[in-house]
Amino acid sequence: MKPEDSMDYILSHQQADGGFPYAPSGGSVLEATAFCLLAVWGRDPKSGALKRAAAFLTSLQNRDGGFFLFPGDNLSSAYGTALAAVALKTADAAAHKARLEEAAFYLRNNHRFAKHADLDEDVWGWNDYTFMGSEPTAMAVLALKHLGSLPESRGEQAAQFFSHTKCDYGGWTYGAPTDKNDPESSSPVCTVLPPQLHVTALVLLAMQDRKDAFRDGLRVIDEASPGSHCPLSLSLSALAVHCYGGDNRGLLDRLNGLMAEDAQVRDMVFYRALAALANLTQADRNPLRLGG
Amino acid sequence: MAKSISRREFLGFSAGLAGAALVGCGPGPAPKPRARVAVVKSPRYSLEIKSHLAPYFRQFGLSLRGKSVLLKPNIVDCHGGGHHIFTHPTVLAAAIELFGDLGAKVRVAEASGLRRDTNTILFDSGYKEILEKYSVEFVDLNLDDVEKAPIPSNLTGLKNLYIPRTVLRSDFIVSMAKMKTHHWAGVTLSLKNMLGVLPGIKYGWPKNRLHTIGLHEAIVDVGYTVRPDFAIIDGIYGIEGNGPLFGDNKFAGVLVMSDDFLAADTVACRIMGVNPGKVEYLKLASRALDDKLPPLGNTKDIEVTGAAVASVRQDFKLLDEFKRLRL
Repeated sequence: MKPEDSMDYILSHQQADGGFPYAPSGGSVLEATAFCLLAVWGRDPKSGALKRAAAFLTSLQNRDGGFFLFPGDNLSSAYGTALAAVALKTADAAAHKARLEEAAFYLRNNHRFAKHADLDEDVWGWNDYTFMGSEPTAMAVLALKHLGSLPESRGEQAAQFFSHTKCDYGGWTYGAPTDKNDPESSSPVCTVLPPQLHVTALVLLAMQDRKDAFRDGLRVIDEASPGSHCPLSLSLSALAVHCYGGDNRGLLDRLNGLMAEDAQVRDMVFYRALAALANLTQADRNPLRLGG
Repeated sequence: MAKSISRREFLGFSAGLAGAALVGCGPGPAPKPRARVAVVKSPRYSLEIKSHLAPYFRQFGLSLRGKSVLLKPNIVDCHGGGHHIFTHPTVLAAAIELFGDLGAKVRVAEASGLRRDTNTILFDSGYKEILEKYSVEFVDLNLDDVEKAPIPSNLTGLKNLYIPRTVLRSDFIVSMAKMKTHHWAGVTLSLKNMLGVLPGIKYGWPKNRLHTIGLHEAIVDVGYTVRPDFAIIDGIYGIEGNGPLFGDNKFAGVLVMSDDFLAADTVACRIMGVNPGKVEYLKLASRALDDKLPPLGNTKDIEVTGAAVASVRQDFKLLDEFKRLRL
């Protein structure tokens, strides 16, 4: 499957409201729209589809500066806010300056950080009511770094958090609390579960400005990616490896093979967008890379 | 996702309750005065499971020709090593055949609760092979459109849940749980399994929004909002001790099946050596919340067919904090 074929497929599924769905039969949602926007931007930064997609994203901004995940949602999402901010900045940072500032303010201040007794860091959950998690924390850190809005102390806290929640095997799971110094700790998630590829990739993306400290996460990608059948995992991994200056051709081969062969994922707009985004790295384009 | 009749309409019609509000906007019917639960011995995961289940399955007299049946297994995660934390694919295969033989349009759906790479879990767990063998569609509920559904019971105070459209538009839902202990709830069976329909991006991976707001209340709220119509509990191997993820495999050699999911959970508890009357969410679900909210099922008058519960009882190890649940 050629990346340009995916682009036609993606664009053909843009909805009247400018957004994109996860699946062809679905309605517009933030996550699919943001990744579609990033993929389209990578192919054609002047595409008219970008403006419409951005308009849909901005329609999801809540009064608190955060973003809803879909029309009719009732709660700002930290993960969604961060992803929308990355997409809007990529599409047109100047046009969305005020909204991006509101989003950054929400991420830095309004979001009710969930603290765990074993850890000292302020980190993010999926929204105000979930536990902290590696995935939303990584997306929030990545977004705030893209926006130039992450205070140094918070960057340090994030680095500490990811050090604490690192799996014994290397890499990261969803980041449920574990006190590794206490064998009776309530959750053995990080010591028993194998690392999750998509979470590991997202953490690497978030910490790409500290490559030396986090580079060993690439080993997890090397080891886990051959067994992955997940376009989200493989795409984020390819983008992360590209950010670290590694060779992601094997990852892209696996990703593109999966997309060609497996109808379960091939027919999803969301996965097509992720795959197209990952393939942009072949032309050294990567909107998740800090600095462009 | 075009459909000619919604789950609500179908159920209202088939139950002779035209006009009654059911899924997502009403409490549902009162349980039958007497529930029937089949306890089916099945010594191993094999292609024989369907033949073990079939005679008991027929007793329920389901009429589902042309209806959309959603099989909701528990595939919370798969981390290899023969660890029985998910509903076994051979049990899924049996259910696909049994409901397919009735002329139903069968789909399988799950919103995996721990990680987002559902497709990898499908491969690693053996589900992919079964889905392809039977050409059955799998819907990743984590990527499904959602609709806001009012919670009839609202024990959590959330008022609404965002439920995947595929679930709301299905005519008939089968909760295919795994027989497991649970480190927060005591046990996880067909009612708790329904938390797995909710999308992670909204409720978190893991879905701790529901686990922290009051787990027992959340389980019952989900049950009143998306009530399963049938339960098949895989207890050939279950998980004991620190379930649902980190406990040990436990052989019980049974499948539990009922058109009253709460009765199925009640019987499964007894097989596990757990007193269902002491499991908080089962207690909540088994009594009328008010005169408009009848119990979610029958836990008091249950006719068990197949194996006697006492003959298959296998006491599952319980964490210290749940030893008080021992039957």
